[in-house]
Amino acid sequence: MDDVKVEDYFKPVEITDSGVAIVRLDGPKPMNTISFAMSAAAKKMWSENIADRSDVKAVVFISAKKDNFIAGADIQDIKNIEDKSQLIPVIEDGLNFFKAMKAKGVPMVSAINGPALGGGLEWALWCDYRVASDSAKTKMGLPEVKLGLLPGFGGTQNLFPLVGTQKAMDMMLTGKEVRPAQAKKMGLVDLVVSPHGLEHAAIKAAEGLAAGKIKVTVPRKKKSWMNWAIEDTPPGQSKMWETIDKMIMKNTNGNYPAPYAIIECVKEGLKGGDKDKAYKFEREKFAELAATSESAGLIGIFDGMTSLKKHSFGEPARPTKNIAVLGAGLMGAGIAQISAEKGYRVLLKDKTDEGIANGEKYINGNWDKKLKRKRMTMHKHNQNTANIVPLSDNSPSWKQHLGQADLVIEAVFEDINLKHSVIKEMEEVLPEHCVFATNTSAIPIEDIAKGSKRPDQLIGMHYFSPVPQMPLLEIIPHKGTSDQTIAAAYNVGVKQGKTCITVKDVPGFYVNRCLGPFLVEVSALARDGASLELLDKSMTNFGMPVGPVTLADEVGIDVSNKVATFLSNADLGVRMTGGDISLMGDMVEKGWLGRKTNQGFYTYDPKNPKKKTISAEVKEYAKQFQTRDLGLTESDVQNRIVSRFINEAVMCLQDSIIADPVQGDIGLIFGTGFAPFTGGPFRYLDNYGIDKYVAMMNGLAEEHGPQFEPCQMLKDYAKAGKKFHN
Amino acid sequence: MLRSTATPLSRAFSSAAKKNIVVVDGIRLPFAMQSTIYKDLLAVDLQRHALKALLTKTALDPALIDYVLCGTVIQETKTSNIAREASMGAGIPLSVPSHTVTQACISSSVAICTAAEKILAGQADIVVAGGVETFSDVPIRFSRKVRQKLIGAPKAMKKGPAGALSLLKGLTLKDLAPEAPAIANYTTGEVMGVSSDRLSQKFGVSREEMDHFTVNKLNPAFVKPYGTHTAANSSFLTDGASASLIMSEEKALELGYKPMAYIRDWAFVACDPFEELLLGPTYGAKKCLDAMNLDMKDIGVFEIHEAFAGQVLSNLNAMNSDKFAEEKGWGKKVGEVDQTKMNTKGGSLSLGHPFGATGSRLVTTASRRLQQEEERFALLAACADGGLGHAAILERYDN
Repeated sequence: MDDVKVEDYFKPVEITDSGVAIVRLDGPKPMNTISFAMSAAAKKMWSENIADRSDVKAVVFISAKKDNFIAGADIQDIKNIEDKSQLIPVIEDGLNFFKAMKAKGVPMVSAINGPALGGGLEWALWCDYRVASDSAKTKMGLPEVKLGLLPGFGGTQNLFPLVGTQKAMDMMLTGKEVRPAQAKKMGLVDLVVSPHGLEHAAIKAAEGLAAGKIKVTVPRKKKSWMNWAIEDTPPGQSKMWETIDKMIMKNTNGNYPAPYAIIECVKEGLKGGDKDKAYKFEREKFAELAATSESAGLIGIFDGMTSLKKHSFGEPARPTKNIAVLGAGLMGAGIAQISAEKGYRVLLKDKTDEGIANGEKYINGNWDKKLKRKRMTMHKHNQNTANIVPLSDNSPSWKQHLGQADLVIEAVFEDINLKHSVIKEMEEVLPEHCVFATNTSAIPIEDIAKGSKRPDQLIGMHYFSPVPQMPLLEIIPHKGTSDQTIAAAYNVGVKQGKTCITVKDVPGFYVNRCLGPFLVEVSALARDGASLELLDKSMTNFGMPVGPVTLADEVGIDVSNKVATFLSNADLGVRMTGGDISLMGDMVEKGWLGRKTNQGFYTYDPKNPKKKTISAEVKEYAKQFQTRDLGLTESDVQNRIVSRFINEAVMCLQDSIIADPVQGDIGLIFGTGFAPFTGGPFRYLDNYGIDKYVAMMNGLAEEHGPQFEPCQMLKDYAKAGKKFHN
Repeated sequence: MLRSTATPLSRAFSSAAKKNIVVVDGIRLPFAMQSTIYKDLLAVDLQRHALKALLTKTALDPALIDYVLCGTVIQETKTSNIAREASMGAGIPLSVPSHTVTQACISSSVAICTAAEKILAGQADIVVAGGVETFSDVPIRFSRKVRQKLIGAPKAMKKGPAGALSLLKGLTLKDLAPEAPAIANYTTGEVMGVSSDRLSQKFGVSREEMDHFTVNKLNPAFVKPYGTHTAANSSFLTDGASASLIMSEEKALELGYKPMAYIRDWAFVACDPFEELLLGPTYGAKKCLDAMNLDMKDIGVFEIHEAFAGQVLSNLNAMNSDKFAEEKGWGKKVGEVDQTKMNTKGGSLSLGHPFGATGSRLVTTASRRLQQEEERFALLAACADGGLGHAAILERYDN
């Protein structure tokens, strides 16, 4: 690292007449990050320009980039170190740099415009004073927990004295981003100014601090009596930690080690005494976390998401500005909502005025909630509303509007004839260049394309319900879809905020295809004596956000049944056998459709959405399907469900339905909530040991039948000792 | 004499290059009695929805709009230029300028005519003109005395507790009562119903005639006990908004629109608010008919604003009165309005009268009726507080 060049990371240090050294961060990439190289350059910059100069009375750190301060630490550096204990001296080195700067004894000011995240905010926390711009891009946070890590450059020690323990824990445990106004309110920054006045304000503050005219206190804000009682008295503290523990348990089911490590670090700091001891404790905990499979899994997801923001299909024929959404049901309205939020003009068309009114009501309801919770400004709310053009067959101008569409997303009822007639009707008014995307979950895209004059411009875009919440989008080209069409659909999906995977045109595509065997196995387990409670509990303990029974209720029993029935008649063969899905079919007959009818497997209290119970009637009903009692344990349930699920995912890779394990991992995590800390099914297999997993499945196959037989790819990988991720 | 011809008629502007002004389309939100369906919305929201609905209906690219004009009467101080806030909220580009006009009940008539004048002056080709009113939310204020104290408060507070106490000096409990906006005219101090009642006496409109015009058995509301104006023959307090798309004829055709009507002539007049507060329509109608060289018989569509049954009937009587024409030295009376052709789709008494929005409704309804009823000319007329009045003549556009 001695050959690192200061000028690759910093602009030449400028010293004002009043003795303020201005350090402008300017890394080689568009975003400033803290890497090993940057760290080395910083040390050099400091010793060559500032350390020994007695005329430097204060230092200002500011970014030379237009829209970021420091976006965080470089994850690649952490990934590249095989033995994570080697991170300890590296972090110590970085920390010593911060301490050395501090030891000069002159005030340091950070001037923040754009994101100051992770290590970036920790840098600012070593300073005596922070000025932030009020730009919409300025945000501060410690998101390490999202990668299964903790703030290791003193963050767990330097934040809580400044803003109080509760606020610090909230930031570090959720990884949430704090906006300038809020940061000022909590004492995280001292001043908020316009981006143009940022440097000037920071220099003035530095001069003021150096001259003793500005004095600051830690904590910044005088604690209220209540906060003092909670944070600074032993009974208050013990209650606070108890509450925090409960919250973590509720949100993570105890599956993630990082939050607990962060708590330990803060507790260590709260003991008082030698700060260096606490910093040492912090970096040791960091190295421990970096070595966990949970952190590797979460970093894998993060990297996957980042890589999937780009695609290799080239540029679309022309940029998409106007999106037509056909059908204003739950799906269509959800798609319209996320499109309008991102600035697309949305031509939302339904057959009837009632349909449109319901769609608009759903969308506006969601936005009104955000407005009420201050997640959205009134102006943004108005802009979003203005972006939706509601159209029905009664609208005199609907054809003129549709004539301006660049991309259509069709979300009408799942019926091939209806879809064909819609395509025919629309192609009469749509412009030549318009891409036609169909949001189907069951009908082959190739069959739908047969109804189109321009099949090369037809593609599948499979959204998940509820659209605003579900982060995944499956993009399904059929054999004749052009690359330009794929590019247009992909770009729209990314801009809508979705993580996109491209999937081959096969029954169920990727996510639902994997869910098919999963659903069959749930019915098989019910037959073998697993109670509904056991089914749910086993899978939430595995790390799923909800159990399979709850999932079916949430998705709708009718929808789940349709998926299962459809796939039973598709090309999965033996993999859809072993259970009796009429368990769900009969429920549809009874009108037990899940949460939407307040009665599925669970009975819901319409007044209290959180309350659900299993009625005696449903228990009796489920009993009818039980033919034996195998005395199943939680791990039996987990192995049987998860292996069916995972085997299908690997089958999809084997059959090139998905392109790579990254998309396979992301697809099941974002599409079904597959335990995120595992990093997805493929990473889970890597960690578990593929040979061990194959042996387990072989055992199940012997006991229960060929539906458990591991696919060829699994067998090959086991035999060769290969991994999906290297 | 130019009469009943399809060719464009020219008025005082002698220049051959004068542009024709057309009404492309118009919409309104359903008008509703105050504090009913719109009770949770601000006026700016009503206007925003109306502008947006006009854009949806016409499929006009918002970026093409040159100017936005809105009329309103009772102003919410937070949105005093309500046209600007509504325009931005409706998704019209931030680069499109906008202003708000106010002229009592003919505010959106002013918006539309100002749009026409902008087009004639070569300042614009596409103007959205609307209007809005809500009575579900009006600025209710502290009394003048309390306002004076509050404005002086920051200064007084600097003197400490004694200063704060001095603020209360001289205030009585009565001063703390809030003030709702007055419905009486500022200059005359008279409530409009009383003025209309007086006008009806002058032009011999009986209670029976008014009740025949509406359907009414209520007690007098303004002049008690022998007055003629009741809640039923007076327009009610209404929430609503409207919007019209006004263009030069060439621009409308270039964009492929089929306009509904030409705006041929318009007049704004004023009369003595003490004596003839609501007689403006008579003066306005005369001015427009004379300017166009038309006779009342040439008019096939009448849209006359109904503030009160008494006010409308008084105006009709005045227009048809030889005596009144003689008093004024007009030579002949304005003419007789064929009531079977007047307000056939409902008027302000039945539909409601959101002050700022009514003018645009009159233009849209008249334009549409010209098309549906295949009539050539429409006469619009409306009265407004302050002794103001408006009239306009539209001609059917043959597509």
